[in-house]
Amino acid sequence: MNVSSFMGLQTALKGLLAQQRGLDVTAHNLANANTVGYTRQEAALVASDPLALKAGALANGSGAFLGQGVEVEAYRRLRDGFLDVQYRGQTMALGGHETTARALGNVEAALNEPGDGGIGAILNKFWSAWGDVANYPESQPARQALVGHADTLATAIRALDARLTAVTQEASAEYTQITGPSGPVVAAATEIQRLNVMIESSVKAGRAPNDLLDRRDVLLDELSGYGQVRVTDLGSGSIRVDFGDAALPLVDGTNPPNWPQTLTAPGGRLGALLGLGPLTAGYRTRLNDFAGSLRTSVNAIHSPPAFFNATAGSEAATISVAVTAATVKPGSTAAPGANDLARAIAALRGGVADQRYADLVGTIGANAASVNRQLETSQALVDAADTRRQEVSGVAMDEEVTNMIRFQRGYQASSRVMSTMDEMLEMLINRTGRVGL
Amino acid sequence: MSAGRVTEGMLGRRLLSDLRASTHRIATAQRQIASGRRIDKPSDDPLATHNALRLRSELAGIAQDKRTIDDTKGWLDTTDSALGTITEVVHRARELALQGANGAIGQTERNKLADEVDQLIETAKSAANSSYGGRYVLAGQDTDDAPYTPGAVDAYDGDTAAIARQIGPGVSVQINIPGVNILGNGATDAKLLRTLRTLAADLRSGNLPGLRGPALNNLSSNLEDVTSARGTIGALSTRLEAAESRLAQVEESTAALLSANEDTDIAKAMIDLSTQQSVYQAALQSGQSLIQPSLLDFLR
Repeated sequence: MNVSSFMGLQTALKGLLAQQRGLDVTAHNLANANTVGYTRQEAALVASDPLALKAGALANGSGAFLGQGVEVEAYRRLRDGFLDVQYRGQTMALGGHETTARALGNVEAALNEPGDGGIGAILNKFWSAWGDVANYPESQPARQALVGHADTLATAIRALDARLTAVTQEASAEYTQITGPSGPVVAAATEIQRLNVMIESSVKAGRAPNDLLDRRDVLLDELSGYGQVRVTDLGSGSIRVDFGDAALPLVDGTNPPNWPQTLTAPGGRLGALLGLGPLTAGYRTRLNDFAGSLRTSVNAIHSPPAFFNATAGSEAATISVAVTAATVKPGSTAAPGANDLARAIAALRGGVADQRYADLVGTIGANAASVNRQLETSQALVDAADTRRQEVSGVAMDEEVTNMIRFQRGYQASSRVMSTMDEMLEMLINRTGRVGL
Repeated sequence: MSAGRVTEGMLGRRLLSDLRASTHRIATAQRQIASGRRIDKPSDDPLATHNALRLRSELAGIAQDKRTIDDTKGWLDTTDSALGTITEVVHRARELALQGANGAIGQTERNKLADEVDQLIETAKSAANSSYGGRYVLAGQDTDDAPYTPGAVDAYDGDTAAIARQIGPGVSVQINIPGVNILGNGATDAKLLRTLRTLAADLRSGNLPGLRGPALNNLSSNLEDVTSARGTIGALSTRLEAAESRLAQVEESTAALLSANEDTDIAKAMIDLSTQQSVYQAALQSGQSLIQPSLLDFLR
């Protein structure tokens, strides 16, 4: 026979070592059970190449293979790249909807509708004040109250316009902060580039840098909240990252990041921030329409003198009351009891101006409601994508503990084999050939 | 890929997000109950918010119309009582004219009658100077000045312009009667003041034919003026009453619409709240029993 007597020992040793590696990996998994972005690993065990026995090894005279134990083939990272793509797509949508929903929430808070503090209520008081002036055209206090209400109304319109402008400005400041030289985008890009370098050299050396890959994936997840992320595997272990609609790749392998770049529709949070400008500009246009029709309809009856002053094109920002209690004109003649103008203006209640305002509030409400629904949906989709990812990559305690028992028993069994071998060799070496001693 | 694996992390996250959703719903239900309102911001229900603005505008308009009607009723009452006084003046003047036309009484008596007519003139003028809320109701649009001055001058110091009020959407009515239409300006017309001045003069001069003929005729025509003015005012009052009760109905139905549109259905909200609370408790309990045991608890 040409099989070494010590081969069994070697086989048992391989078993011991392999089971030990398995336990090591289990320990690593359990230690990282709560690490963000950690992908569970497994030691892929494979039977060692068998020992070829030449012809005549078996009873029928043919050759055979004799197993030589086990080896660790690889430390595998259990991850599905397709789920990452899904997760990042949903994270991008979520980032965008969160940002829009927050901004529209601020706009809604500024509207304060339906309520007693909103422009709707102030508008009602304004028309009622005209009604009071129509009832008491002679009365200085009634006209004084009217001017007061008109002033409150003009102030409220200007304040709402200023709030809308502030939302736009806050959005562009946030955009600048995120894309700026100390912002999260360039920080993530730099870190990804650094990881690319490390991963590439590990891959060249034939090592699988599982934990570095995890860290890179976490960065990509983070980045996808800010804008659309497209990842291309360059084959050498490093990746190219295209961000939003930027002309050049954000990270290209081991080259330094290309940043800053111009974005027009990057998607995600940055896309939402860019989109807030046109959105609030649309609201401001409609607010201008409202303020303009308020001014035009009142002035058409009251003028001269004009009741409201406003600059064409920016009515909401500039509307102000142009009269005093003394110059309010309740009637077309100077007679103290003349009230035809006041009556005509009071009858404007519910007219074009009111409708334009209600339409503006309705539009903002509908937009906010729609983005809130989208936010809920994308939150659910992110949760679902994350759940699917966790199904594949997450650490399950019971599973790891079961593996632990498995490897422990395997280890015990291999060591038993080893001691059996030892006893066998003891017999062979120390007891054989000593007949009669 | 091993679909269906469930990890502790997944359980924890799912439990957390379910609890968060449940807390959010509890908070919403509580806010609706506490504020009494279903809509807190436009996005809660954009259409209802739009309707709420319209309905509130309508309600404010109705309230304004009601205020106008209340004020107008006071105005009309003042006018009517002034016209009532003037009616009595005309009746009394007619009696005095008849007494004076009687040939059996002496000039001394007639002079006394004439003195009473002078008093009647003052009474009529002061009635015509009635004011409501500081406004002279029979002065046309010149409401700041009394239309007549006590004493010998009978000129009308007002105008004949109409004063109108809006008593409903698109409904305006004239509410004033210029005093000059009733009392005249004492000069060229055949209105009450001139009739009374002539009557007093006729009594003092003993002009019996004048007392028998033109005086009585003029008084009849003057009475006609007052009565028809009172008729107008009465019809207007009736119209106001009708408008007021219609407004009350519209207000009630609009308020009901507004309430249905934006108020919390308390019963429903309470049921929602207690449902959500039991869901929350159940989630907490199941979370406790889900997460606690693991294989580790059974290994020694």
